[in-house]
Amino acid sequence: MLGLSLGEKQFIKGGIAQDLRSDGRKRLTYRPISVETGIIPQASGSARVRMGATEVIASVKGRGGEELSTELSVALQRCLLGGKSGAGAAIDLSSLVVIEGKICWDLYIDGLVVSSDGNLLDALGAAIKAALSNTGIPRANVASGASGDGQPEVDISDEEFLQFDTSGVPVIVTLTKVGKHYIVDATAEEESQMSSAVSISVNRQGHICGLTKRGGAGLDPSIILDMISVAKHVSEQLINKLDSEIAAAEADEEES
Amino acid sequence: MAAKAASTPTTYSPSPTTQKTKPSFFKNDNVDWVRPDGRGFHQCRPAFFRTGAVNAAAGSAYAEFGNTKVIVSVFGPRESKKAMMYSDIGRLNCNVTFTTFATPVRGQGSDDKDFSSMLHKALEGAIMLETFPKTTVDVFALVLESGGSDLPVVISCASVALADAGIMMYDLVTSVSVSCLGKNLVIDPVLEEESYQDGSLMLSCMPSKYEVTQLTITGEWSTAKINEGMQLCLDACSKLAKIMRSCLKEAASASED
Amino acid sequence: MEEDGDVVVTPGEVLGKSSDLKAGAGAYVSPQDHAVYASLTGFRRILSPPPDAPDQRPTVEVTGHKAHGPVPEPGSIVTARVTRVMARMASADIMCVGTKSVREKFSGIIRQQDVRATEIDKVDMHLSFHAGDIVRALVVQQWFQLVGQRCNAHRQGKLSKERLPRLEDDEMK
Repeated sequence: MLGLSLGEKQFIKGGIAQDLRSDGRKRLTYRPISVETGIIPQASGSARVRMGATEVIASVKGRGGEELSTELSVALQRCLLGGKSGAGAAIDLSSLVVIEGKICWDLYIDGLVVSSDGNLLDALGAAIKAALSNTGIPRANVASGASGDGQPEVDISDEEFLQFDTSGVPVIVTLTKVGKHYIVDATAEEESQMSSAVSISVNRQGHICGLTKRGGAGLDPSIILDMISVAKHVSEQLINKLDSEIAAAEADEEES
Repeated sequence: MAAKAASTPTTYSPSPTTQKTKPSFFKNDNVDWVRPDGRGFHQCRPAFFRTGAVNAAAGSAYAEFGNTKVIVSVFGPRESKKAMMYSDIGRLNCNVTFTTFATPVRGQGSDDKDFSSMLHKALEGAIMLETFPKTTVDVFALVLESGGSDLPVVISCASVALADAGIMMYDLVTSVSVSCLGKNLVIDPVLEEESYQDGSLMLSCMPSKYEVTQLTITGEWSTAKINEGMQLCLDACSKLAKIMRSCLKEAASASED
Repeated sequence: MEEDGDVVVTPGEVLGKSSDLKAGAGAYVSPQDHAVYASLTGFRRILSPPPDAPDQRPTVEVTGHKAHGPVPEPGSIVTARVTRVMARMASADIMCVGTKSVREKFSGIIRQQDVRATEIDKVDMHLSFHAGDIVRALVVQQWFQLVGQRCNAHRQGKLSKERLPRLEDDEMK
């Protein structure tokens, strides 16, 4: 926990109430976001995202990997995987199929928090989106004739790669409630003053793909609905901003 | 379900979840299909609560919603363990476990860790933690039989157990989930429905204060649908609260005699 | 108004408006809607204020059914059994808080400097306490682990320590 004095706490809360936060942002303004892709050569795809002092790395790999801290990974799963039937999933899971019903790619996404200054979930969501769009899955050629039972032979190409369609990957917007108002992209200081926070993942169509609440205090149902509509509004800007950052990062990568 | 299993003759697994295709009646959104237990879409299973299921505990409750059966026991407030960080106010410790026979396939209960932290998040806002400073209240939930909507049942049952233990609370916590199946929203889904669902929404609230303590959504939802789902849940929550209150009152009057 | 003891209420039930009622034990006032709610399961009792009180609102209480076991707090008078005596402190298990016996284990420590008010550095713990002694003590502070590093007695995770007024000290020689 951060050790904040009473005065500092008041300053943070007062600033938020007046729509002028301690780093000069408005309530619904994000910190500058920077994206780098392809930073881990060993992975199929990777990205580093910086939001102010928060820095995270996400990597996507065809196999292997370790777990994130449970709470964050559960929240991310909820946002990315969709329903049990697969509807509403961020990634088209059928693109991972090599042989229908038999062999498929297992996609492992690893998130690493390099430095934490609040709003980890949003940053991780952005990093994963960037890493996925950077990901190439090797094309797998199935040796014909190996039908029926037994292990079919699969030839994995190391030159041809398949890109994912990442337009369906949602972004995560966390609204943190401090006092009567809520803010986006809270810093660690601001998070220490929160009464509750709602993380909402929104895709390009403006559909909600997942939602989870943190913090103990109860919320009025109408406030939650209001938060959802604010999140939808904010997410549009965030998606556009992220897409242009990702495109720029990919261009950078190709140059170098 | 047996038809699928026949195609893999080496081992037989009786799990209905291994079935890849939906049964035909789930597919067609326009035809009125019947829920596996014959309920209406917006009809909850009958709920049953009973306090005092565990004698050794400070408070306990048993809940049964159709095939979903859970026992929650509450211990404390008791001395916080030394490993815990210092805290001025009381602490809530939640633990959800599944019996090995709770699920169709032995020992395949849902992610326990996830459930424990979700239970904690749903309850903590309702408990007056400052009334038992520097001590811990332990909530142990055991899912005896998993029949769908396990977490909501655990949350509601835990709040009855806490009330039975005499822990000060702002309000009871009731919890209800809805599943999205095609175009339809079905409330209080059973296991079978949960395994085909396109999305789910679980809402926990303090009914008489009309505050949401926890809300989780998975799958793709439009705002209108979220609105509808929340309304369904809130409505069901307030009805569920009446059942919970009458159970507590019954127990309190009985102990008087 | 004194009676009304048969009505059972459960947590979250509205007992009245805060303009008409004061919240007593087992009840609280919600800052949002200024209503008085129950926080326990039990019987509702409405107590009339004493006639000379400045606040003439009756107090509503929720009592009876079941309350959780007592928890020692700074300021509580506790009865404890000494379990171990060391040179600078004694450890004790709390048996009662006030007049109520505890349901769970709460341990405490009695520090040498807290045994009596004067000549606190000359107290010999071994002459003051034996294991098994029953002492009455005042909880002066609730303990937390970070302070406990210096002394091996803290291994057991002390929750509270008590000051023994001199009177109690004499009682057991």
